[in-house]
Amino acid sequence: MARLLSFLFIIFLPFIFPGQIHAHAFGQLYNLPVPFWLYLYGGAAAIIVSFLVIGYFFNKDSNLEKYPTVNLSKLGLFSTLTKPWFVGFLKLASVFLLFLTIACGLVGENNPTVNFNMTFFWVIFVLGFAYFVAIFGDLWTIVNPWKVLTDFIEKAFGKNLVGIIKYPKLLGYLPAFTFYFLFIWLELFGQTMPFSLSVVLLIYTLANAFGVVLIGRENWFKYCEFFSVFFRILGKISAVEARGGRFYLRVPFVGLLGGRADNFGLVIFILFMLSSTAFDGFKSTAVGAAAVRILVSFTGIFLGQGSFLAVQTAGVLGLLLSPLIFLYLYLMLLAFAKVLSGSTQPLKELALDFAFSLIPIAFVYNVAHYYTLILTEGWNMIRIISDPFGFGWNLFGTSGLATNPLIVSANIGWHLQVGIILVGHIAGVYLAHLVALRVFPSRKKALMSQLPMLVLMVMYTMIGLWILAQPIVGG
Amino acid sequence: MIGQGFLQQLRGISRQIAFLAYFVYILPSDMSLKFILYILGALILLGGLFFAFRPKTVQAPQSPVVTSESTTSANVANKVKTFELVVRDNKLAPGPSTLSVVQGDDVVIKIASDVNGEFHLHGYDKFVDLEKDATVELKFNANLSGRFPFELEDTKTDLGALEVNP
Repeated sequence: MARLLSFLFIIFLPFIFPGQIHAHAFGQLYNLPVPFWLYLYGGAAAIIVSFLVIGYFFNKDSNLEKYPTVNLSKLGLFSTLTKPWFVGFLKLASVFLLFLTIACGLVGENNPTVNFNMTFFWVIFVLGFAYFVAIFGDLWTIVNPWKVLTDFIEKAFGKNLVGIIKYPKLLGYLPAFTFYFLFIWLELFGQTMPFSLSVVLLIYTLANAFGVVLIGRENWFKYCEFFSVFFRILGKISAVEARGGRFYLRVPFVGLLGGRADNFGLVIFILFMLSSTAFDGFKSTAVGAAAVRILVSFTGIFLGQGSFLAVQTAGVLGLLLSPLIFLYLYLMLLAFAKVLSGSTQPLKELALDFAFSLIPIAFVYNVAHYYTLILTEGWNMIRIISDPFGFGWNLFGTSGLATNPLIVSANIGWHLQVGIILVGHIAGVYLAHLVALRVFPSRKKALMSQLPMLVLMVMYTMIGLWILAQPIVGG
Repeated sequence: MIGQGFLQQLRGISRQIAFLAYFVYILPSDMSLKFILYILGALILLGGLFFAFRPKTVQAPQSPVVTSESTTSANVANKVKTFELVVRDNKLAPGPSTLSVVQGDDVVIKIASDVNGEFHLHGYDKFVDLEKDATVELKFNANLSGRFPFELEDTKTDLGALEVNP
């Protein structure tokens, strides 16, 4: 009951916070659109590389499910990382940061450029920590402050939180997806300020508390807590692997090998990773802005032309539509692959099998679109930590530091964006091919199935590149 | 300008070397020569394609060169670009809202406003006070490339953007 109430409250959050459809949660992007020739090159390279990857596999047996690793534990640094005191310190720091973030918003200056919580949450955590996890592995599973608090409460009360009711497995990852949706809505339309951000985090903390009590900590953090699912997915890309208390260096993306989505909800979640970034970029293009206007006029018919409610509903509808468009492409091309390969597997099973090969593209979409924010806004953190509440403190002597957005030259920016999208594309095609070999009846049939998958990957990549190349309209 | 082209080539080459190094690293020791050649061929193909697609001159529109092209003369590329903006009723009066310049240009933005307020150019982080029924000027050198929105600071109204092309 309590969980239902908190869910309902969360569902109605979008209609409580005022604001028009605007650019980003926080921070300015200074990226110029990618020039046309580079966009064309990206597309051509994506297509060629896809054929090269498949061509390579044509006559070769691939045994890359086993991959080379380097044992890092020989380095002293890594043995420190597993010491209980260090892990304990990390957990404490994480909870402290959560409390600080909430406190700064509640009692500090309600000014995003001055208050600790906006820069910390949207830039350092949502972007910085996400990229950290993608490189070094899912640290969140250890430092998740809500999990740490749950552990603490369990120890304090001497009880294990196994839940009052059994988690209906049919729900799958729907709760996590719901939170993800709300999170993106908040990021794109919520116009958060320090105060409202703290309120949201408080509500989320309460939701965690209810959830853990209701369905037990294991299922809550596996299926429902948004960040846990998100970082777990990203962690699979990482170049560092932890096994049996030791750390190993490995090739990036190989963590995705041999795995599959365990639930269709996870497929939607992964597609939303892709589509939410695409949606954000898309609505700043001329085509996208026009589509938004049409959608707003449509909702205006029912809710009052130009009314706040019409605008918000249009935004929610558009955001909801975005993963469905990507899902449609995914399923349609998978169906072709199924037909070409003569597979008897149900389409749904194939969708689960291939889902992980979409993760590299989802990740590079995000990086290509947002990475500059870490540089332009992250620098401010040095100033902000000296005066987190905006009261005029100077704890570390850095509060006078001038705002100095580290603006990457447009040339470098463009090449990095296209380059990283290509890297994600290559990884995606490669993975899809390995999955096909595992899942389809024969090697020859697997190769035939790869043509539709190639089209899918190229389409996703071209959509990403196209968005980056469009002239930007509006703020 | 030579510096830029060279930098791009260097970037292209170093990227390819990094790519190659990456592949060499992940090669299990029994990998065949055929594989290495395949990768090399792929890289050469991609690299060649890159140089084929790249425009022969620098992307942004160049100012017409009066004398022979000299890389030491800074004045050849630097132009002074002046823009006039009119702020009325809390928004920009009709007219282009995207100002395009080339990196290195000196920019002058003249803003006429019907109210007092503050004009803020992001990225460059320039603030200028607007005066009712008067025109103020903002002058600076566009040394950073990118797209920089500007707004009316008090009402946080987006007015447009300055695009500095490299």
